[in-house]
Amino acid sequence: MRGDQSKPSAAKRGIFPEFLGGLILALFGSLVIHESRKLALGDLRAPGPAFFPFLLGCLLTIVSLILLVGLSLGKVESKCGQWKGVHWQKVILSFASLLVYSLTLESIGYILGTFLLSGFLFFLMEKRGILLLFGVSVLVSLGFYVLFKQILFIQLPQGIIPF
Amino acid sequence: MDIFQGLIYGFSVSLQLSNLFACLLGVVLGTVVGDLPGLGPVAAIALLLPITLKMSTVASIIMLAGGFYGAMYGGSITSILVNIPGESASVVTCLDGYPMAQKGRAGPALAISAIGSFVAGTLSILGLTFLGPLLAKFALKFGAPEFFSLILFGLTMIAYLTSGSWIKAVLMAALGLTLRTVGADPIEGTPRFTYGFTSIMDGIEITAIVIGLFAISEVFFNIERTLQNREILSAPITGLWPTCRDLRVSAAPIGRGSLIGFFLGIIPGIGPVVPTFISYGVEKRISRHPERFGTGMIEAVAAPEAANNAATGGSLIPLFSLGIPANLVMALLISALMLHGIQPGPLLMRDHPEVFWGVITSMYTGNVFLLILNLPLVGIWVKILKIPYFLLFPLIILLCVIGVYSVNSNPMDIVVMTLFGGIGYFMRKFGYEAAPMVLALVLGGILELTFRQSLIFFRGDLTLFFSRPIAAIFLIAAFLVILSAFLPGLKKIRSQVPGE
Repeated sequence: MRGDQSKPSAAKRGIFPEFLGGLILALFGSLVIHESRKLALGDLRAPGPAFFPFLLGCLLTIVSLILLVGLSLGKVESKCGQWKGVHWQKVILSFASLLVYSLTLESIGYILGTFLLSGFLFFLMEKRGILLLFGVSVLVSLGFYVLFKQILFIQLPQGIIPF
Repeated sequence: MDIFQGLIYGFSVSLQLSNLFACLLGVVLGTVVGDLPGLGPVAAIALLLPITLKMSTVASIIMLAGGFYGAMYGGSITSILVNIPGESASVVTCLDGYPMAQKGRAGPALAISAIGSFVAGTLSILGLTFLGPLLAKFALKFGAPEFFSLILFGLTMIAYLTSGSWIKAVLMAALGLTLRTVGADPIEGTPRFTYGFTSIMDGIEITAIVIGLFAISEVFFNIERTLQNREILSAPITGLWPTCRDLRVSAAPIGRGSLIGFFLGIIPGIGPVVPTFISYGVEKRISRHPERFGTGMIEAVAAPEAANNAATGGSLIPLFSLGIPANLVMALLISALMLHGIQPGPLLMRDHPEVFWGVITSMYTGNVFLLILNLPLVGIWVKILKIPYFLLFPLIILLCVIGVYSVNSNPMDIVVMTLFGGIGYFMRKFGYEAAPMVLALVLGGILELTFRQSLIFFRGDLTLFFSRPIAAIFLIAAFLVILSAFLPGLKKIRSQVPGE
């Protein structure tokens, strides 16, 4: 009983985000097992296409369950404290802007897309004068275009700007 | 072709003007990237990759190899001047390098780091020159069971040596192997987990995943906190050259560091981090003044720097002779070779001697470039450290975008990079290391192929793995590594080693 009292509960230790991570991995492992069953498994003498993924699915599920048990019993160190006092909103905005950029790159083109992305990212990092951010973004997008497209001959999407 | 003929042929390749330029560019850009805090050799190679796509295979690999050892040296600069290791292998350099800089001896610290790197790099290339071909000949005797057990041992080592929980490292390795199974089955060609997307029939693009996991997640990880301006030594760096006494006391540590780095670098999974810790520990143990370690001892800078660079040459041995990457950077080099249609392994020396010998000999010239360039250019490296963060991080993201897009001209690769950047960010937050996952991704294909071939060959009898001596040795070694993870004493040592 004393041992139980000295160890705070999982909720008190704030490990639920990490617990969720372990759970996602366990579910992913189970999904791999499930999907592998749609392919030929074979046997030890003649392993089929599903043989290796099936084993990996089992490994993922079992080790994830060990992790979950370890987290519950406090045997595995939790890293959840690192969420306090950080600007995670900036990370989400950077992630979202990069995702939007990659999905619209072909239609709007490299120069315009990169100008908008770099302008947004510069603004997100530090609030500076709008003219400075505009100038730096123009320079960066054109500079990258000249360096990679004109000098290194890397194919970049043209988009709506006709050069 | 014997070794001396090979060397002459190699120099005739690497001394061609275009290849010399590729080497110089790789070394300089590698040093610049390694100089930036948080970005190490992995990011350097990932960012150099797009530049190499339009180049010949030899020039590409020469440039990427130059980027690797350039970044290793660049990492040392930040360790000495800012007390922030550019990459994990430079952590130990901070311990005495920064105190030396605080005492006004930044010049000798940087110089001994460059000299130690040069000597160790050259010694390790000599080792690579002679051991590489021997091992390649030996590896021709390897069959599927030997390759399977060697790769399994390598993956076990990297999972064991990651800094966090080994359970999480095993999970990451399993996840990497699982992701690798996406695409056509290596034996029957049956599509697996492709769900009708023909673009992933050849598997998921590894470059996009690696850049996402390492470079993008690193940027995400840094922008979440309000970064203060780095405290960089403002005083001019004077007295660059070490004194005769400095050179005398550093000579033996450089020799020992070179040996430790080279031989440990050969072992799959070890990487350059562990040798630096071991060489520092050895120097401290045999020193007459161990109590002064941590206060600015020049030999404590020289030995780990030598070990760090010697490991580079060592880790190229399994890559060139077995086709097995000893660490993450080598895994990226394998990807680069494959992008150019070359399969590294025992037949590389016979089928592509220009790559094998050209790259080996380019490392001699690359080390000379490093020595000549780095000392006079210290002022420029310091200026690079002063680039404001608000400019630096978006520029890194844009370089990554170009790097990933240029491989296949496919915007979906940028989506994959972004998604894995996000996944990598969460992995860092929850203490999951990316290295086992990436190495598993690179090695997964050959691991599965050799495993299934072995099972067919042994008619399903797993015990027959132990009837082959080399396979048995690697399997037993892997088992011992797993077993040692449960020993309390070794657990403590393991927890003190930072990840790659």
